[in-house]
Amino acid sequence: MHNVQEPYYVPSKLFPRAEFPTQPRHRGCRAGNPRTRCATLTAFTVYSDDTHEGLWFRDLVPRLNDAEMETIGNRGNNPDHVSKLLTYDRPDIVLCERGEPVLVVEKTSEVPSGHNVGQRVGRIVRAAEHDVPVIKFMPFDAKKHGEYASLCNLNARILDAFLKMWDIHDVPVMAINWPADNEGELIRDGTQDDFLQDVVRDFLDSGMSNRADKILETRRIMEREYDERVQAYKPYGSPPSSVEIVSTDQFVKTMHERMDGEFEADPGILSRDETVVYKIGMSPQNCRREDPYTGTQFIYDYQHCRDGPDPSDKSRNLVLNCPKIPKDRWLEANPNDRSRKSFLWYATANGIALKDGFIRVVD
Amino acid sequence: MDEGAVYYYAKTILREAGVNVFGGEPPGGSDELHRIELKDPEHGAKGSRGSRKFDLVAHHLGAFILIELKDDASKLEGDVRKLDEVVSSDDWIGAFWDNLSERRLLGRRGIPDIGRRELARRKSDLFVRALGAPPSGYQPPDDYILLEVGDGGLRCRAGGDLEAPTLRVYEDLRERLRPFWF
Repeated sequence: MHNVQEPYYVPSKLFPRAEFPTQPRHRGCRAGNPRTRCATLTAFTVYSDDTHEGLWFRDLVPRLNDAEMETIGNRGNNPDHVSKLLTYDRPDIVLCERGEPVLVVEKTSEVPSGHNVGQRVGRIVRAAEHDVPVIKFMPFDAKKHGEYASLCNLNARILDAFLKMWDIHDVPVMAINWPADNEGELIRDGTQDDFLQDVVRDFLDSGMSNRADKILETRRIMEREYDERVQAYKPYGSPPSSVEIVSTDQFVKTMHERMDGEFEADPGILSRDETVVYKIGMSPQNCRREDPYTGTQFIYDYQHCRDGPDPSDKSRNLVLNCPKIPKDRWLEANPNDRSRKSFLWYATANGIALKDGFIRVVD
Repeated sequence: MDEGAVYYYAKTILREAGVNVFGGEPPGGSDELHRIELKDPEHGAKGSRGSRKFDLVAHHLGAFILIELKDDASKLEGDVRKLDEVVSSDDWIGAFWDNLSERRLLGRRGIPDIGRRELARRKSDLFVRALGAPPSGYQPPDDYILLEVGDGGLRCRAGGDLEAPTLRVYEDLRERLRPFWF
C-alpha cells in the first residue's frame, strides 16, 4: 500500500495555524469553553432543519460564535418570523437577528440539472417574497456517482430565474458554487466553503447590506456564468420543450376544444396577450406529488411571466398543463390546502389546465 | 445533545485534529462527506435493501476507522453488532471496497490504492471499530475505541484487549485530541 500525498482537509483559516498538538484550530469548537474567543453578537439565532447544518453554518464566521441554535419545528411550531418563510417549503438555515430573519441558506451537493432543476426553488422564492436575502449553495458542475455516473452541469435557466427574482424583489437571490476539481469531483476538504464564508462574513460585517461587496461580486459571477453557459449550450437561452409561449387567444381556443366549449376564460387571463404553458406529463395514478414541478413552475414564472413582486404581477399568464388528469382526480390528490405541500400547486400559476376542466388560481 | 450535534462535533474535531474523515452520513441528510454505502452481498449490487452505512469513515495511520454515533451511549448495542459483522466478513469488506472504487476514492484523498482481495485478506490489520456518544459510564467492548463528544469538545477512551491497529490509532488519537478535551 502507498499513501497518496494529496491534501484531504484544510484546517480552519479563521484561527492561527498551530502545529499539532499544541493549540486547537477548529473553527468554533473549543475544549472547555468552546465559543468565547471571538468578538460576538448574541443577537443572532440560527434556525436549522438539522442540528449539524446549523452548527456548520454557525461555525462559518466567528461573528456567529455565540448565536443561539434552534431547530426548525413542524408546521405551526415555529415563531411567526420563521414560520412565514416555511409556507412553501423548509429551508436548511434561517438566520435571525433580534427576532427578524436576515438570511436564508440552502445547501445541496446535487447539481440542479435535468429533472432536479426546480427542486427546492419554492423555499428560495419564499425568502425573496419576504425581502430576506437568500443563498443557494450548490455545485454548478460535478460528477454523479453510481450506476449512471456522469458529469452533471447546471441548468442555466435557474441562474436567469434567480437574477430575475433578485431584480423583481430587490433582494439578493444568490447562487454560490460548491466547487469541484478538474475531474468533476466535489471539493470536500473544507475549502469548498471559502467563498460562501466570505459572502456571509461580508454581509454581516456590512450590517446586512444587500449591496455588500461580496454580494455584488456574487451577482457578477452569476451573470457571467449564465452568459457562458448559454453560449456553450444555446437551448438554455430559450424555454425547454415542456414550455410553450402561445397567444392567449390560442390558449383559449385549445381549452375550448378540450372542454367541449365549456371553457370560460376570466378577465385576468384575457388581459394578457400571451400565455406560458408548462406541460406536466403526470398520469392520474402518480399525480399526488409536487417535486419537481412546483419548484420548476417558479423558474418559468420568473423567467417568462413575472414583472412584479406579487404572484399576480405578470406580463404573461402562467398555466400548468396536466392534460392526462381529470379535474376530480386532481382535486382529490392535490387540494389547495395550506397545511399540505400540495398548496404549492396554487402558489403562482394563473391556472391549472386539466383533461376535462380548468382551475383558476392566481389573479 | 442530539445526534446531529454529536455527528458534527465528532466529524469536525477529528478533521481539525488531522484525521482523514472522508465518508459519512449525518442523521437525516447529507453533507460534504462521501456517503459510504455497502451493498448487501446477499442482495446483489442493486438497491439499498440490507445495505450498511456508517456515520463516519476515516483513514488514519494506515487503517480505516468505521465510526457509529448515537446521542446516548445506551443505544450503541446494535451498532456494535453491525460493526462486528462488517469487519469480520470478506463479503462486506469487498462491498466496502466496491463503494470506494465506485466513488473513485482509491489512491486519492489520502486513501491508499489497495486491491479488493488484499483489503479483505488484511482486514484485521486495516479496520478499526469506533463508537461515539456524549460522555457516560459506558464501557466500550474489547478492541473498540469510544469517542466522547461534548459541546465543542472530543476525547476518547478504549475497551480492553486492543489489537495492534486499534491500539496504534487509539494512542495517536489520545494525543491528537488533547487540545479538544473537555
